Amino acid sequence: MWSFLLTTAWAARLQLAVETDSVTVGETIAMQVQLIDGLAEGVPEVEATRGLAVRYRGQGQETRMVNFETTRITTYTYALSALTPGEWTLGPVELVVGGQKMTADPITIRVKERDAGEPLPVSVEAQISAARPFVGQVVHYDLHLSYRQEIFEPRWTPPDFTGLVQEPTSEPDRQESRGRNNGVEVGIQTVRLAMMPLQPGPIELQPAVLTADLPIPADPRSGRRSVDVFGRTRTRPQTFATAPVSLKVRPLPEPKPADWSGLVGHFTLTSSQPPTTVALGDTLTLEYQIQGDGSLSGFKLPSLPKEAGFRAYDDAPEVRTTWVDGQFVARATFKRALVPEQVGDLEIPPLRLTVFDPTIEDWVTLTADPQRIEVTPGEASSTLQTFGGAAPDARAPVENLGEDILPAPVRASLGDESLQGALPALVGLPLLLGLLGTAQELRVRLRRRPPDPWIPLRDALGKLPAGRPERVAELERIFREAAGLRLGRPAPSLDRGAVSTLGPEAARLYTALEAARYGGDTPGELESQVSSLVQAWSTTRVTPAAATEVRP
Amino acid sequence: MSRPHPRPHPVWVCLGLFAGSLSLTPIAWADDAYAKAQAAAAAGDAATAVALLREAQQAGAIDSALYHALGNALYRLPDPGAKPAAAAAWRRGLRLAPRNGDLAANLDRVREGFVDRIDPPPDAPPAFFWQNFLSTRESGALASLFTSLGLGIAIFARFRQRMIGALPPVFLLLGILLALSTYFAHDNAHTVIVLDPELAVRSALGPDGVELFRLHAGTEVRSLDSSGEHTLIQLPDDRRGWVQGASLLSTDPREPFPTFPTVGRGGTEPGE
Repeated sequence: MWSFLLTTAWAARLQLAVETDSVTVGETIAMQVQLIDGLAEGVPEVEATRGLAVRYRGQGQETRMVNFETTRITTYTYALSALTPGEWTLGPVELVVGGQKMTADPITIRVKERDAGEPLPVSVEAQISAARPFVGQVVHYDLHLSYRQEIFEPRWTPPDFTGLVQEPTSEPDRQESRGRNNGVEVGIQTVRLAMMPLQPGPIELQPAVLTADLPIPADPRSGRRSVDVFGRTRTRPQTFATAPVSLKVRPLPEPKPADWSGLVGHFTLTSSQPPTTVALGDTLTLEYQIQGDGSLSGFKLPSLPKEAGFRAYDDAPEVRTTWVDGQFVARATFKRALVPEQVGDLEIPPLRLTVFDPTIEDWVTLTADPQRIEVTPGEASSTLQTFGGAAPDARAPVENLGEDILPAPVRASLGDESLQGALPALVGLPLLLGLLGTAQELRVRLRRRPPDPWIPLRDALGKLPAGRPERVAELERIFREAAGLRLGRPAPSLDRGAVSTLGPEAARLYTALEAARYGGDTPGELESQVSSLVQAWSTTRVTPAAATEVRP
Repeated sequence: MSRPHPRPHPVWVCLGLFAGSLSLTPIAWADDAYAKAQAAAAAGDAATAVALLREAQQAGAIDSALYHALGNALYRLPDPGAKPAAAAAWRRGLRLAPRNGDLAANLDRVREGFVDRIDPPPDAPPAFFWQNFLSTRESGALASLFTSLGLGIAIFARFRQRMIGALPPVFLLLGILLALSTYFAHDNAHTVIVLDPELAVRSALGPDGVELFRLHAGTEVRSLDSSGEHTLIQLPDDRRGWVQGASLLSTDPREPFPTFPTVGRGGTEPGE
């Protein structure tokens, strides 16, 4: 049965619940952090003091509906282990919900001593290989587990290694063995981690915690072990904590040598023997091996001096780490290809490495002896040219030293850039085009107007020929044309009957003109009559009815 | 029957006239004054440079390069009161050449030192967004060009007794739109910059006016109206009030640029 100890935060409700507030050393109970009606970012951080260990197990979500109201519950599950007797504070628990940090109040857990009686079947211990290491020295953190009875699924939770970093190329060393303790056979498991301190000063490593499933003790009355339906021994999780481990990191002694290679440890340096003769332009390969109890991760051989007479090309080193009799060992092989640049007897300069040896607490220089080789001219003598090496790009961006206003143009041809300065042209151009278009349109319309047919007749009346017969003939023509215009018929098709429809005056004039052709009325009288009639007809519109309109 | 004279295509005529309208007639004397002003500025004599450039402006050189140089010379004067005048000069130059990044950068730089956090009035209504990067001269020229093209093509088509088509109406519409935007931009150009370190803005002229708020040197506001020696100004949040006109410097490039250091030494406040 759960007995919940609830502490409630505000608003969206953050709850911390434990199975019980009273536990025994070594016992592991369940702990839950519940977020109700909130959307969390991340997993809640649960702070535990020395006497308790908290391990995150997982999370789950569920949705409940009560009285048509939906509630969403997110549950974060932890395993809480009791390590040391006493009263210990669990929490506070913090969680970011909807962008705001929520906190649940801490609770107190009482841890009781184990019952006195049978000695514990399991013991754990943590050790450090050096209590006063130097900065950069490889030390190993050992976790020992010894057990007198069968245990299931042992799981280590190492402490927080603040101030220490695991050696990059190493793997934990795990060993199992069996031994005897007071005549009792015990199993021993050891885990070793290679670590390096980063800075000088004291470091306190908190207890490491081992959780394992141990068989439930037999019933003292019946002596029977508790088993499940399949006959397997029932187990219960137990937690065991080591004691804290202290170490004090010392700084490397000053002054540090200028040519210090960066290595800390007890190392040996060996080199291979190159051939004694090589042709100019050929390559010879040297191999250096460095081995020791320090870290070789990231180490590179120092460059050859430029005047050595060789061009050197280094391969990527092969670094291997291993555990030998419980001790950390690192080995690195460096291959250096050398190309001689001149003929003659040349000396490969010695390789010197200055390291700090913690075993003697002093600086040591490791040396690979110089080697002499004879460089022969080779098959075709030539002069080697050394191209510019891949020198690093030492350029740097241009740095701003100050800020100021931007300068005006040095030279300028000044004018009037305003709108008003160009307004006459800007308005004048469309205006001009508009006028042009209007004039164009008027001209086109005027050209298309049909000519007044009466105008030539009136003009002809003013230009009658001088001779009588021609004059009469012209008068008759004019009369006929006018009558034809009036009737809308061609002049030659007109006869007396057609002309008489224009009125008695027209009919009489038609007869008179015919008579004049044959010596009738004088043309002078006829001229005025024809002219009046033409004038009258040209100014009046032809209508089928009697009424006429004056032409504009 | 005589062959008709070959007529130039109206489009080329319009383009030629348009280009001609945009060309500037150089003012020789102003060029010489500009060169001397630049030499004086290079020699560290900013006051002489200001005087020469001001005279060139009054001689008719309404040029963005002139206002750029004038603003720079005013900026270099030791009197801190010259900074608002420099801002006014650069603002005038920017009206003539809105795409001049150097003028805009200088204006931004000097504005960082001013007190009031008031954004300058926009150059044009948002609907006419192109006025933010076209000067009124350029937009007016484009309006003239499109109108002329529309008329020219219509005339040509009519002459050739062809269908006018859709192009002339489109061009005419563009021309009208650009003419409208030019008009509004020109109307929006009535802004002023405060020269006095602190300027009281009152609700009305005369003794009944109440002090509404205070503006500080460098602030650019819109000028709505004027009455005698006083000017009605408006802030971007539509607050209005009357101020002493002599404490303001117009950003209209055609307005005479006052003499420095008398610029900014205004008289009494409105109502006093």
